[in-house]
Amino acid sequence: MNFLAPLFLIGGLLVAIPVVLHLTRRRREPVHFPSFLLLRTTSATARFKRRRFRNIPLLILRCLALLLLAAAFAEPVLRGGALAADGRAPVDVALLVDRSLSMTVANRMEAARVVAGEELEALGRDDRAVVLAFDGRPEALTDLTGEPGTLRQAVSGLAAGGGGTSFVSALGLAGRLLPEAPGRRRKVVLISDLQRSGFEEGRPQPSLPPGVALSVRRVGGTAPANTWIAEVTVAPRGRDQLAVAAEVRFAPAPGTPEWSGEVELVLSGRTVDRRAVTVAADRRATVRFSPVLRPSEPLAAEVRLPGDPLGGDDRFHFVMHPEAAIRVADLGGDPPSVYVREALGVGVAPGFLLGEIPARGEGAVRAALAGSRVALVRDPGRLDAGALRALREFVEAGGGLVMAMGPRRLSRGGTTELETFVPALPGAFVDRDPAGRLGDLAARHPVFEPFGDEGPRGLGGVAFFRYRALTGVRPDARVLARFDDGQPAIVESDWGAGRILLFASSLDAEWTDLPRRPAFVPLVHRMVEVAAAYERIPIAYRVGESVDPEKAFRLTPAPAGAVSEVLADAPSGERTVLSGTDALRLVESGFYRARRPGAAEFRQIGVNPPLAESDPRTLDPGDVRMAAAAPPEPETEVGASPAAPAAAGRAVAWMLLGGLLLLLVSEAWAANRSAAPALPE
Amino acid sequence: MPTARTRFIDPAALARIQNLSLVAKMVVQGFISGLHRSTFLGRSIDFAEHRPYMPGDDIRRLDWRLFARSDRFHVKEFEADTNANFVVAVDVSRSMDFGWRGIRKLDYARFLAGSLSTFSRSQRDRVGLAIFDRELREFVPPSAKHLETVLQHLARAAPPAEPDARRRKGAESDLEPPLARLGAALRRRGLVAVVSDFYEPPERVLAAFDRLRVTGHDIMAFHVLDGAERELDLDGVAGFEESGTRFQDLESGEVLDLSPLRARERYREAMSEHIRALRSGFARREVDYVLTDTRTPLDFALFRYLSEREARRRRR
Repeated sequence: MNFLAPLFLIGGLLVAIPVVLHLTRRRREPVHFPSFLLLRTTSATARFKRRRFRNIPLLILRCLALLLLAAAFAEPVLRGGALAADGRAPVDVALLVDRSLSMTVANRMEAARVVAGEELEALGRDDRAVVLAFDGRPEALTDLTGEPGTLRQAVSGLAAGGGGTSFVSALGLAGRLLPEAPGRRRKVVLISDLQRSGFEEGRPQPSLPPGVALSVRRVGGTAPANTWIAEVTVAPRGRDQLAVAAEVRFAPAPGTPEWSGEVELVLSGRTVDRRAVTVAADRRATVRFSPVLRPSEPLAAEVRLPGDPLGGDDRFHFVMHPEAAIRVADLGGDPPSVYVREALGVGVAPGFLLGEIPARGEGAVRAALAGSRVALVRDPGRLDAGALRALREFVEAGGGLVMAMGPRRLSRGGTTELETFVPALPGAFVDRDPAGRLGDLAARHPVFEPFGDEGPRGLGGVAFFRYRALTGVRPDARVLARFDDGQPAIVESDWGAGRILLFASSLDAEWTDLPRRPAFVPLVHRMVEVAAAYERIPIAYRVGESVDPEKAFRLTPAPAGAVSEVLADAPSGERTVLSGTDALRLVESGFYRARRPGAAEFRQIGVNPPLAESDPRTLDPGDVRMAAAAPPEPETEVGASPAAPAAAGRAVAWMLLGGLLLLLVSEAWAANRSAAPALPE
Repeated sequence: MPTARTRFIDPAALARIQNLSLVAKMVVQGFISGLHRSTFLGRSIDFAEHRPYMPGDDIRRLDWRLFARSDRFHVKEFEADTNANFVVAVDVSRSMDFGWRGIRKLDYARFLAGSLSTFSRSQRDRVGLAIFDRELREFVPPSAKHLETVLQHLARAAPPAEPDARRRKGAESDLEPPLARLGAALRRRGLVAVVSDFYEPPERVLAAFDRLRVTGHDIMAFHVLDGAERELDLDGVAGFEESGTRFQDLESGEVLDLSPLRARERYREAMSEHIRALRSGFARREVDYVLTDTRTPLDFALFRYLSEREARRRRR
């Protein structure tokens, strides 16, 4: 037990007063007696000279009353339920400081440090605090401690980064770091620019544990205008060129209805193109740069905007890879399919390079398949046995095959060859009138991924007038779709190192209206990608993401049996050594570099701020409190004094005073009982 | 006996009645109503007053001298015949100003004196009064007309305001001077009732009574004590008994610290010895001695008085 005002304990010495009085004081009013004539004769034996305590119970009551009074004034503090020096209940505070990219605007971070310092100054002797910094992810910089030096050091080291803002996880961690303790208040102080995008729609609203108050202290003034590169796309243009396009967005400030400026494309530190662009408020504009040559090696590139207050999002870092397109050998022959050519021609990520092979001999097919990743067959009856053999060997070597049906029948040799590797053989023609539809779909298969949850409905309206019955489906094959009569529509299987997709109808418009449907393009793209075992690797990443370094940097796989180890350097130069299945968390904007230990060459990836972080709009503190479901507290107002008195903390003193009152009543009762009766009148 | 005592009037209840005359009448009438018709009633030839003549009055009782002066007929009325003089002497010293959780001894003495006077007057005795402490303070000569005067003086009787330091150590006799003066003042023999607490050595008390007896009076001594002082049982200061109590002498103002618990036994012995000495001394001198407690009903004391008086008459 401690005392907030221990000097008052000196008042306990006042117990000496009743002790002395009870020891020395005789009755102030003597007992009047008629005559000492007879009484005097007894005085020789009855005289009383010793000093003894008189009325000991009353003396005890009076001493206790004085001690309780002194103790109550000294304000005792129970351990674990203490009162702070200013009379309020001690408080555990979580200082939650925003260090996201938006805090780099003007002097927001400096202001946040000042505010955090003020909060620390306001802490009482028995208060404790923990300092947390957060962007997209919160991080506790200290333990919950009452050591001012540790807390100030953590606050002084706060710096804004390039991350996004997530109030949800930050408030959640802050609440968890404040343990519930009897007699202690809990409070979270949120110091932030209150960027609106910190509350993501569709996610649970942030909530603090019951009993945790929230004080919101906003730093920074009105939201500035901001222009940022939202997205950059790189698409193949022909065999040797890449087309780079950038999407520019503009969030206005009052008085700035639009933004005009130049956008630069920078390759390896050299500006290769510069385009003027004008963006209206809350709109976006796409800037298409002049095509650039496809690089032979991964090439670091940037799209740059002129600087503005929020400069972290004015550069978009990305990497252009030499293999940006999937080479597709169309073995469909003569005439070439307009639909397929157009569909694959609009591919961006990935792009497709379609090679149309009019010849159908084995030699021409082998030549066409060389250098291709996927073979597209629109009528297997068109190929002879030798061509099909070459195709089988292509698949066995890891190539992909997308085979649709056509009007020609297979030769005997072709059938024999085909049945050795395809998951099913084309059988009889099935004519449907009225047209058949797709029935059962494996909606979660990557082929149907572009259709999302609307997979069955997106393809359900496609009319099929003719298709071929796929017979002899191998047990290891996967039927991805069936017609409404139960016949397999799309069958997938692996063969050797490659993959085969069979489509029971045509990719031209004679048997079906699929090529005229919007679903045709994504379906063909996905079928080619699945057959090519294509793995989408973005050209750029966002801060806050965690990546598999081997895939993201396209590193050479580690030798079998060896421990996979990666050295990753952040844009700031900080090196991280990753081993095994460690993921690399991206925390900075710029180019990350990575390599295997001992390798001389680095691979790099471009990392950019989270897209939502560029939206400068902010929230009112009241909205944040409502979203956080924090209990109302006077301190939650911005700039309010953080140290309001708490009467609850005086419970011990009040209890003592209550005890004192009872003692006084008892003392009065006992004193009346022991008082001398009325003296003779 | 409880049944007998319940008809007596509690002195504490009488103390709440301010009018001493009323108190005395209540006591005496209640006392008389419990007696048979007294044989002491008689006729007197002492003139009492005049009253206007009424038809039917005996013309022999007309006062012709008054008719000659006023030309109006008045009849002379006479008091009944008185048996004796009755003087009550009341001690009003400061020691009488004591009462522990009840009536003070002085009040009891006043009630007793008033009741005795009223009763005596009802017996056609002439009543007088002496009030004394160390001196004779008031004296009302016995007369058939002095009852109201006696009662008025009794009502005003009060002890001295301040203690008298001369009374310390019992250096001087307190009772003898006033009683000697009283004896000298009473020219006609009669009955003298002395009401006091007799806080004086018994020999001095008896010597004082001897000074009164030489004049031939019949004397009664009413020894008034409070129960608490008789037993040294000061309930309510029990908490102080163990650790000592400061006492102050009402007479002299002297202060004494002692433990009542330890003094009680010795005190009771001394008190008994004191009473025994007084009783035997009074008996030898044919002084009627009545020891009464302030809790004793007044009519009970009157009964004791009447009994003593009857016994005296029979002895004579």
